Amino acid sequence: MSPDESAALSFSDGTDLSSSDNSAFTIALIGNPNCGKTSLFNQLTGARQRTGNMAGVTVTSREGNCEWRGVEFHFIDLPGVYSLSNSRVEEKVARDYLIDSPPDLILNVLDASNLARNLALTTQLMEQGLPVVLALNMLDELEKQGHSVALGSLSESLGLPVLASDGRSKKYLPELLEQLLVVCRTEQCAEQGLHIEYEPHLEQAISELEALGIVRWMAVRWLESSGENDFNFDANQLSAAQSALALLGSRHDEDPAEMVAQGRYGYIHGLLHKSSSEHRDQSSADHWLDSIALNRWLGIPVFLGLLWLMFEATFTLGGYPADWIDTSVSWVGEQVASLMPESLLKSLLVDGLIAGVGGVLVFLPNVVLLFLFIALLEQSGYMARAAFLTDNLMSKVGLHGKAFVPLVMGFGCNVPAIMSARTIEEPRARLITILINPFMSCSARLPVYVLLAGIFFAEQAGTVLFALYMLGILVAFGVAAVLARTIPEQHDETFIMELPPWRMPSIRSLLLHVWDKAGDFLRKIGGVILVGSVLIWLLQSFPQNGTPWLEQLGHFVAPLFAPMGFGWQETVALLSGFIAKEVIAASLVVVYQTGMSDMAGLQAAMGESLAPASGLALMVFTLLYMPCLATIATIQRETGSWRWVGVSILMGLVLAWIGAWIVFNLASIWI
Amino acid sequence: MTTFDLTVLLLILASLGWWLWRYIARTFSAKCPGSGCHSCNGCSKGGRPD
Repeated sequence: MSPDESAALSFSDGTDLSSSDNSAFTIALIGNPNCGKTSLFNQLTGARQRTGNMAGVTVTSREGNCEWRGVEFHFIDLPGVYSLSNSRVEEKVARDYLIDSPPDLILNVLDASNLARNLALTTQLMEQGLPVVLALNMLDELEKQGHSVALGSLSESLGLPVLASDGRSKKYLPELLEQLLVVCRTEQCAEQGLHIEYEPHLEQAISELEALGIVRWMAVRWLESSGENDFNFDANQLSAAQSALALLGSRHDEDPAEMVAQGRYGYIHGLLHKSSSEHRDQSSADHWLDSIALNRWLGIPVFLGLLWLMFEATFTLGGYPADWIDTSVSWVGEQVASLMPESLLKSLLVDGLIAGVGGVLVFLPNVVLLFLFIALLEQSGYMARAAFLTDNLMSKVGLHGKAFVPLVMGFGCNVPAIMSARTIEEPRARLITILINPFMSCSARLPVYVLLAGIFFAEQAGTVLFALYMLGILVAFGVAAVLARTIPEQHDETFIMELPPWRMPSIRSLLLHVWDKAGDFLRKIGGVILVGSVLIWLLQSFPQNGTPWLEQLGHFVAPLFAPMGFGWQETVALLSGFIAKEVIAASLVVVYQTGMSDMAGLQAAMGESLAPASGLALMVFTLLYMPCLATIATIQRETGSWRWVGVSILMGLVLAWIGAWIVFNLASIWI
Repeated sequence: MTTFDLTVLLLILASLGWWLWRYIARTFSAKCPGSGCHSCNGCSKGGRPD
């Protein structure tokens, strides 16, 4: 920065800042991960920086210098943190640094496009009474979202200097450095000591600790961390703090961290209501929707009810277009059969390609409808509320809050879902999310369920689909709980969930999403399903004299599945599902073809050959057994280990066999 | 089995073998996610046909 740039600047309070002196100030940069803090640090210090470890730990910090108008600024880039009260090593490092060697000033860098979440850390700094200047990065991102924030109003409400900044350019740098100089020299914002009014029982606990000589921010932080933050309390203070914490626990279901977060976000919401265009009061309709969707007693039943409705509609509404496709496929099959002379090619086209591919194509409407409903739940903002509802249960079984998105994605396809688990940094939580994902019933299994539920449980097909998806979730959670107790955790990882506002889904966006998914399904039909159908047809057609190879293979493996009442046809269909789960439906169509011209014929043939209890067991086996080839490859790539692939395959096969056997025996009693 | 049937059979076997080899190679290739790109949103190539 050239001295000429600063020469023209003057200050209304008459402070003479143009004179050079030898003073130096230490300024710590702090902010949430990915808020642009390090980019700003690079802009401030240029090449004058060095990398080192924070005292006693391996967390890296960078330090650098910058001279501005004869004053030396020593900047320290603290690790990115969401809070100062959790047990994550980066948060402990930042917390200890601010307590043990407080800098002259803290430059709190915020992502303006996620202001509420970023301000939660600011309130902790302010509660501690530290001198803070706020630098708002990514204001252009906020503008792109169609929102704005009034810096003057925010500064006035907080009682702190609030400035614009940009980690990608030096645009706001002179202004920022001048402000830092002013604050360092005049100590404008020292000892702020923000006082947020918390919930009455929490306030009572804080007051009890204050009466014993514990400063307010320490009392809040200790309670918020449920006693994990160590502030060297004496025995008397510690005993009183533990009693206060126990009393709080007996009075409230939510833990103190949630109660403190409610207080902080209440304060932040009031703050932003005045200064941010994004944060307006909830409408009464939104408030009412939240009161239902997030209600402690109603939330889960409403969630389950919506899922049931989704599967019922997927089956019932999808049935009409499925019939039209079925009629068309049958017509094409008949025309081809009548036009061609008897030959192997005719058999391939009619009995292999048209029967197999057509047998899966008829389920396109069901798949499309399922994706449409999932997109509706996501775009309306309901899915985030469902994540909030299930977060408590997920944490109890050892799943990280971030696992919700990969698990929901698993309803579509396990491959991208497993890849999306990369967002989970903690290795154990990521591994568990990957290993349980195949139990989330992907859309490839839907054609098998719709086919079998339509044959054996036509009147309750929606309920059967719902029960299968629920069973998949239950098994996934059970396996997660077991894995969480056998694999050691490496470190804690913070998860902050932000509830988006309720939105009316855009028709265009919904249609584009559905179009995209329908395209995926059709491409898969033209690829792996077509090849699977031809393979099954080939094994079914040869040798031309004698028992077909497919039947021989089926009879060889069938004893394994005999306890569930599966015949050789179901056995070979399950074997073919290893390539892709839709191929199970295609295989059943090919192996059961008995001169029928449409799905009704298949339904009749299967209905005669298989008992309803076996049909139900077949659906359960399809739900739980080993992942498809593409998922196996993805698990290997993401875990970097064939051992975990083996665990996933073995676990799936064993659970599927046991699950199907139990369901078959129970269903045999009741059905 | 006629000559035509035999030709069809050989073509089917060759096509199946070639397709399955290519599918498995792609599926387990470090460059390509899962079954290629058709069902994957994991990277910027998502949506590109196989």
